[in-house]
Amino acid sequence: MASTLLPGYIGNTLFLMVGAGVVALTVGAGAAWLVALCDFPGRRIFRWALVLPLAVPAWMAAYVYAAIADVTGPVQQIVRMVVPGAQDGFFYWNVMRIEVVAVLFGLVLFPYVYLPARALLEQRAGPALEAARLLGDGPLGVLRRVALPLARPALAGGVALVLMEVLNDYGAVKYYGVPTFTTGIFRAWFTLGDLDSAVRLAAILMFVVFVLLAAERWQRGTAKYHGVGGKGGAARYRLRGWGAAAAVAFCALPLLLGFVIPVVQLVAWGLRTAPEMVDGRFVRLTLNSLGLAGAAGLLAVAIAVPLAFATRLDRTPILRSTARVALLGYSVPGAVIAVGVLTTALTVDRLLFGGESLVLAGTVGALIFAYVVRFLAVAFLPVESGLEKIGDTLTSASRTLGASPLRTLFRIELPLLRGSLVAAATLVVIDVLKELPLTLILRPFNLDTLATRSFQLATDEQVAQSAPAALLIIASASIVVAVLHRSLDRPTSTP
Amino acid sequence: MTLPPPTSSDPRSSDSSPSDTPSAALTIRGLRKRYPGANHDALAGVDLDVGMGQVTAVVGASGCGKTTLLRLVAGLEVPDEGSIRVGGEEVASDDVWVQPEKRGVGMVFQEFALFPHLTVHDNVAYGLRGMSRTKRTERVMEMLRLNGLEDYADRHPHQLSGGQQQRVALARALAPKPRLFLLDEPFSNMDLPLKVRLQIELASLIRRSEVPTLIVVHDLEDVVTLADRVVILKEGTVVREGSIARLCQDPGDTYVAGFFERLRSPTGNRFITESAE
Repeated sequence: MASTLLPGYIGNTLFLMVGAGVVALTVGAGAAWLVALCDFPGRRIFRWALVLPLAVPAWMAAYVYAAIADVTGPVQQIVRMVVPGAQDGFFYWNVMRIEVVAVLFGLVLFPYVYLPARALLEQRAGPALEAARLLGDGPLGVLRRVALPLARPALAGGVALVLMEVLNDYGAVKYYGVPTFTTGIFRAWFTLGDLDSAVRLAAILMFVVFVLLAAERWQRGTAKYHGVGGKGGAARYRLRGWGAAAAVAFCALPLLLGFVIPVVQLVAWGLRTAPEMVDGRFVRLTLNSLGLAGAAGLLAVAIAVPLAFATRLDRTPILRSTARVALLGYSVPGAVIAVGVLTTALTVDRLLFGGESLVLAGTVGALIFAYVVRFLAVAFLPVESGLEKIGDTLTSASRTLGASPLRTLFRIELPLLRGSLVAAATLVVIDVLKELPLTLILRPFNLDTLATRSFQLATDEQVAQSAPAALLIIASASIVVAVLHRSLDRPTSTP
Repeated sequence: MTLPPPTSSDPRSSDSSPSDTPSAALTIRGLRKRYPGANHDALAGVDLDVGMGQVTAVVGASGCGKTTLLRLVAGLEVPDEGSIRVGGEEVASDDVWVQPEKRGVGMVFQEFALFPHLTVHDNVAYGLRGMSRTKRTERVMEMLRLNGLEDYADRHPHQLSGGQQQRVALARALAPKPRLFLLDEPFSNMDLPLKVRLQIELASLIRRSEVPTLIVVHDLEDVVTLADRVVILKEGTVVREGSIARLCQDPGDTYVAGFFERLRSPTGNRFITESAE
């Protein structure tokens, strides 16, 4: 298997990473620059709306576009009707290509680049950019000599997240028939029943992830400075005429392609199929999804809180590196975690229960455990930053007033952290709702979620029937993305 | 003794103001600015002049519009009304708008805004263009020597002390020989000894480079050794202007008098007598 299929897996995976990375970087950095530093019609709307593509899972965008743009889809039908000579049936374009998948990844994942880049330009880089202008630089000079060098760590961090999502994906590549590491793991495990090969592929994939993480850390280390040091944004370039039109187009196009078009298409399908699809089974799917996501969210927060407190109170290297390893799950592709959890569960089953029955493997418990492994970092980061905002003073005040650490935790810190805890749990819930590869491998028999069902229907050529479940995922994710974006935007009160 | 509340249209207690002769370094007429969503003008019709080789200080409480004034002169904000001329050239009016990079204005930001990814040398060289590499290095080293920074050329900003960072910011802004020099609260967040030293250094640097200067502070004490003229700003309008000695003798109202309160302290009085002489 290794010699025949591996080169293809590696080639395709690298191609997808480079393609998606380039698209996400161009769109994300370009949109961040426009929104933060230029004035043009619709800027304030684009500013938050450009986050929305994050609510569309890549696998969902993949099958919607396949249906829209494929040979039998409306786009090519219209082309055949409009373009003279094309109606003979000779005109067709195969969209089920790796290039299309790469671009789609870029279009739904670019907010990972856009958000940190915009935050930097709006909140930190302003004085430096204005100084560059006053020293005589035009827009391109400011971009090349100051904005890009300052934004490099933010851009690299964003691109790293995009690439990890690409490595994690199973649904989009599977749907487009592009063999990668993740589909390889699935194939080895499900089709060939070859757990050894699955583990080996997972190991190689992990190696790629580590190289990625190391590269990201290394480039951060090469910077000779720490932090931008400034505060606030810069005066905006006022765009008029063609310049303004180009800016609007640059922001509107990814928003249309990455969010509006898939959602509109899904709504159109959903209106048609909802009466047939939304039934008792649909309610059960929703309850399954919410139950799994809720349990994973609560458990992740329950682990994140002591972890965050521990890293704050005890700064010894051992604890810090333990915490870092615990948080690494987010960069590990779901399929790898699934294989890891599965082999562990099987081993435990064999040792404790003699291998006669599967006690751990294939249970809801193993699935939730795997979710927590993967999404612990998502819960940890809001808790950590919430703790940072509270600072040490209140804790010290409480302690000097005679409260024990535990009493301080319940009387002072947890109440003040409430917002962060809710945000942490909600983020995990949304990630679990969208999650596909891990769920597909680890779910118990006959347990379906909104995501697995929607994907299953789409792969069975029942794309329109998949819409109600898909829309429910997108709608809840959109609300969370928008609300969190607003709350992050609110100026933080400093004591 | 009661004085009528002064307004911007009042005949001011000014010593012969350098009028808008073409040689004036900065001429501002009827400058008005309101930020979107605000319910009052940040600047409500300001007239102001800076003569060639003069140092003018704009003094006012926080929120009086002094930073807005500076940003409008630099071209970082667009005025709603009024005109600005720098070195006799119109840079902002109803039908003229010159981009900040074309105004030939040097500015030192409150927090210095040094480029963290560039060395001290490259920071100072940033605004120097249209000259050979050797010429540029010469000019940079000249500016660094002038500011006592010649040993720090290869350092990065974060490796410098606060005082050194400010001197880099000064050198960077003055290196391209600007037509007008703007300083935004140059002494905020500094402890007293450093502040006094920098005030003395800055005064000699400005005098030597002979660049007309507009400096914005909230504390009059910060500019007694520096400013030829003082403009007192209140709620977006100029309430008083003139030399420090003149304003000290006849502040006009309690707002203006408040800025002199501290100067009347035993140590402060020495300053006043010196600058009045």
